[in-house]
Amino acid sequence: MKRARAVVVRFAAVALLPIALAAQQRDSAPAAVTTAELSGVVWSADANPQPVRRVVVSIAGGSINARSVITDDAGRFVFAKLPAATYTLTAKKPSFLPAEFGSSKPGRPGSKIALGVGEKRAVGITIFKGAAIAGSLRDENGQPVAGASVTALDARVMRDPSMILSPEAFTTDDRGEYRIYGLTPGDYIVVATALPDGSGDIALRREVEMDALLASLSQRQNRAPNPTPAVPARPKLVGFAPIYYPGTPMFQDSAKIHLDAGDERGGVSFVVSHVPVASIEGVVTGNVPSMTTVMLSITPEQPRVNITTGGITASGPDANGVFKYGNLAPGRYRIVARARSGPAAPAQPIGAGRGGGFAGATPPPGVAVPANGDMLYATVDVDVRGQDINGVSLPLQLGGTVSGKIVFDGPAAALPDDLSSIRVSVNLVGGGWNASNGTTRVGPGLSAILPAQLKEDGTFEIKGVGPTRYTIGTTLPPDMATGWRLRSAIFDGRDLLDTMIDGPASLQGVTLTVSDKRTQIAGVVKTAAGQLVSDCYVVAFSADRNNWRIGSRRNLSARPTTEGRFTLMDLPPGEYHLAVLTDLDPLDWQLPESLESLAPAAIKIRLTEGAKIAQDLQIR
Amino acid sequence: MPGLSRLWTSSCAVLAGVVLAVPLLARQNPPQGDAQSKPPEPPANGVISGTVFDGATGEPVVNALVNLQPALVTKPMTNVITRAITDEKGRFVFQNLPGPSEFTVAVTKSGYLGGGFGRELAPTEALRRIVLKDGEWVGGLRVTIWKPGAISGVVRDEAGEPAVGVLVRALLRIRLMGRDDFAAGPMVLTDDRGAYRILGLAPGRYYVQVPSVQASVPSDTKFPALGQSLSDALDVDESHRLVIGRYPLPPPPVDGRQLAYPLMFHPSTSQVAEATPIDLRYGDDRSAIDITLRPVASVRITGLVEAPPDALRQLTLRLLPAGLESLGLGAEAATALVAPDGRFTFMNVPAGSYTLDAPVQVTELLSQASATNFRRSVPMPPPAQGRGISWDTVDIAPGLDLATTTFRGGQVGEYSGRMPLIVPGADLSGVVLRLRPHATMSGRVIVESDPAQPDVKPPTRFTIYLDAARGETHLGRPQSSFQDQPGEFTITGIVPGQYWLRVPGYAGWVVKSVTWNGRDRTMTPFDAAEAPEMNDVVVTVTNATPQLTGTVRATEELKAENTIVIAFPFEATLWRGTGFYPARMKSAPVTTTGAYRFTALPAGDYLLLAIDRTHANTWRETAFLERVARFGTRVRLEWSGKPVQDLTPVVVR
Repeated sequence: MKRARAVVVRFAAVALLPIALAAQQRDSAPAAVTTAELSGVVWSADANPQPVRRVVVSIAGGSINARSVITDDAGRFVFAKLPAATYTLTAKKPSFLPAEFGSSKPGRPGSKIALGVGEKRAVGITIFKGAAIAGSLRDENGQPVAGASVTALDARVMRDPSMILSPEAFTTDDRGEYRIYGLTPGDYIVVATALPDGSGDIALRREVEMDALLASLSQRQNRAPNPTPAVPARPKLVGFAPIYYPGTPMFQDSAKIHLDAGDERGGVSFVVSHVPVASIEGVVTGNVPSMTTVMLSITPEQPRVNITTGGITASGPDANGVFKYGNLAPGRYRIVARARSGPAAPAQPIGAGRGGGFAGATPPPGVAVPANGDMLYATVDVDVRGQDINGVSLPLQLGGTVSGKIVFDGPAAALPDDLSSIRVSVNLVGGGWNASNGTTRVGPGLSAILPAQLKEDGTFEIKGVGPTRYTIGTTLPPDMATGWRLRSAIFDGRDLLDTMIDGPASLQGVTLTVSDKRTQIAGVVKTAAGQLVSDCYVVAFSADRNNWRIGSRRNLSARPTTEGRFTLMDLPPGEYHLAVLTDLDPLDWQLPESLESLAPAAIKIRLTEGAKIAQDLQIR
Repeated sequence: MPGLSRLWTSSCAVLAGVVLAVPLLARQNPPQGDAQSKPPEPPANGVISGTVFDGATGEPVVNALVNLQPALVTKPMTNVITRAITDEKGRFVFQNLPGPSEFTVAVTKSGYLGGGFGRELAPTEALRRIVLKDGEWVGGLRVTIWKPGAISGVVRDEAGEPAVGVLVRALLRIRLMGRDDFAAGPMVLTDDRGAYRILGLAPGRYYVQVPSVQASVPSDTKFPALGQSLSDALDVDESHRLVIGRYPLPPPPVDGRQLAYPLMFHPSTSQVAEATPIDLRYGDDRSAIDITLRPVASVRITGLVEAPPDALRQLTLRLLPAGLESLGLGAEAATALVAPDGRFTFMNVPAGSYTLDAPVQVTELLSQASATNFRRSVPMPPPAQGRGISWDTVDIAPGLDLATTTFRGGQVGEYSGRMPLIVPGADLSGVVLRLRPHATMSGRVIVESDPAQPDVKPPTRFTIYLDAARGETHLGRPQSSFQDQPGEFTITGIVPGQYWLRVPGYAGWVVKSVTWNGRDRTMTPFDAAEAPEMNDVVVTVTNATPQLTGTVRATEELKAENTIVIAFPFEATLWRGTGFYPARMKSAPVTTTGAYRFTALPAGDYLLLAIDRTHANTWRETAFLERVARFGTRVRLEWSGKPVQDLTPVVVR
């Protein structure tokens, strides 16, 4: 866990002109004057920094087109004939992590360089070597597993498996070996997937079982006819599931690997074996005209690296509501059923989503999709451990309703005459992703709810809220969208914009406030001696612990410019802590335990609607 | 080599079993009121079992995934598991199979090339059908799976520093229609130590190269949002940028002079003629195949493309080094985007002899996907956004696909051109490439359905393909439009060259005859240079193909199951210029009972031979046919005919 330290700020190791100097140069220069020059050296991040050759350094900013050059054998680069402007400099070299000028660590934002007319500045950029993880995969017989897809996942996915990830996948070679390189420092879990082609059950018999089977077949052939042909015992069915280092299909049991910049971690080897698969059988019940119109979807609870159906088979529900899922690897699964209570419409071709609520998901081919009635949902979590499970019950219940009104906090004259183009929407958290293969549908199984139009009296009603979390939002017409924003969604004393909606609850009397007022907190960061600081991060977070959550709209961070000036725009009104950090991980700083450690050293400020506050900060 | 062991059940015993079962079941399930209920069928009892062996070592293979596929079943397969994993002794068993039926058995294991029953010599052989009678146990099958070869090494630059994240590719030497050429093999990326490993290689002669395409665009070219970020291009001068991707970064300029890394072959040469080949067999693992990159001086080439404006849209010129002219994207030394007025500039080109190519689309031969199922692809010439790749196996060489990539997007005029170009050691200007228009062909398709198969409905439309008679990949494989009305066809985009007309996609249907301008063109290829528009071509297709069957008798020297039967024209002039899909040169596998069958040969005069399967990849070469022709059995095939010809294997030394 990273703790914020308000200590002496470190500057980059190479000569950097004092930041204050650049401020004098910024009188308006004619764009035609292109005599400034930005040059420098790219350094390695070792204790004894060495120049790095063959680095692609790129410059962007002002009115110029982005340019790139390669460093020579002395690590030098030059950009000449530049107009006065503010520039970003980035450096890239394969096997190194992308670097930005002014960034003290990989993955941290850098700072911009303000170049004056004709100014010639030399800078240094530090580039860090990526870390690597390598190992080999074997099967349970000790033979190498070739062609398996291996990825290193950010270990933070363990606390939030619904994060959608798309890290680069590496493939094991014919010796079962893999090497993942170019990793930024952090904690990782390693996962391997070996999915064979084809679909259907796979039988596995080991040597002893096979000997017995062949023996019984021989006996059957050699002796007198048997009136009842022998029905052979069903073999064990196996499947292929993602296996996590050190060798488990359960991601909660995976081991974290910690990497610092440039670390080389070999020997991350483990056994990738088949897993026993099992089935889930159950019944959907509820008040629908026909059970065959119910749409089922299943989500395995594990990091979503490859969105596929992964060999899971599905059937049903039939007219009696009976359904079955097969080929399920061990783990926890959530099954969601949804249907409409209205009468069925004639079968529509796939994609005809007019008027229905099925946006974002396709009904099984040829199935009649009911067009009216309320949305019903059922959900159940099932733990599969290699044994078939029967008797799972999915009782369909009415989805929730969110209703209320909109009020406008701003001059009535600024409102457009026609408010009917305003939409209120209740949006799924985590998206309505799915993957399907024939009748099998994998994914949260919930479709987006169509936005509701604002009625003439300023009220709205949204139905069909399912058993998951939602956020509430508005879509304003273009002429309003620039100046106005949704400020709050009050229900029963709480603001839904901070807490989200836990479906399938029904919320009546939600008041949405749309306001044209904007807040701002701005200032400079100085040392005790009065020197402006830009190599730091300013953060603001709610003073109310209930809002301490990654991704809260009340968390905001900003980097000061090279003149030490920072601006935090559009935080919602409320009480805040304001703090300065020397190092910041974009996600981890928002963890409740991080905020807990920042609060004592922070400045408390109160932001009212439309307030513009000037607040300088000091780094101790 | 042990043959099949067959365990026959006595048919009386089975019958007795069935007769006894019926009254037994009747006692257990009293009729439910309806006296017409049939007794339930006894469960299917057929069994297929065997062992999977490594083709190179002969050792049994554990954890292989065996896949049983029905080829011909007369009863439904209920409750049958068709995939099984082999045990520690490589064994598998499939039960409850209905009979009479025919099955094939294929096997996969990661790290191996796909094998199966019938693939004793190579993974490209056809799967042999297993004939199963009702209640029979066909056991003891030997199923072979092959470990491919691998090549590995390190790529470094002239200072000894590893080249990270660059593509390394294996090119396969092939012999096609009497010519030596290359097919593109698998491609991988070097890791952060510059190390690479190319897997999944079938036996053959390979050349390992590091592709290096100097792709330049005018500086004001807008890049699409996907794929190209700003640091993927280098500014080489005021008006041009060099796009970098998975190719080695060019060295920085020396004394204002830009240098280039040419495409490099192992060990360290840019000339394929000087490269060291690597000969691989199954299971070979060749390491230390290192490549050292060396920079060379480079020059600029400017010139003009003469063609109508819409033929210049999104046109990318390719400069292909000598010897690599039939390869596709990634084989170039340099590419250049042509400006709307036809002007172009190649930046950073090493001196040498080249072919300058202005294509509408790019076609090459690919050696089929490796055991790792993963084909890394070359970057597209900028600023192309998306690409379409279509590929199909060619009949003339097992294990090869003909793949066409289109990337120009939108409507482009049907013009293309190629010319040789010698690039000297100094800048070259004033190069002019004149594009030639493509030809078109149109006409009618007449369908002659086989009267002996009244239930078979012909496809509603036939796509006609043009097959480059001399196997020139840059001619691609033009095909008729999907928008054509049934019974008519139009083909556009025909690059000047010689072509046969084919209908390869329709099982059982072949071209019976082709007429044009009143003359029979069935046995003469079309030359697209004859006329820019070839209209009123009449193609007659039929499924009344001769059904040629027979049995191969085993001899002392050669067993039936170790043979294939080959059929080729009696007329020797038809052995050359056959295209990638020769209609009159086919081979057939032999079933477990020694039977063979040809159903796709057009009527004509043929020679038939049963030869050792080891010749499966080489028999189509003219030199081979000249040697064996006199041992062949002459057969005349007529439309709708059903000749039977038994054969004795011929040993070819």
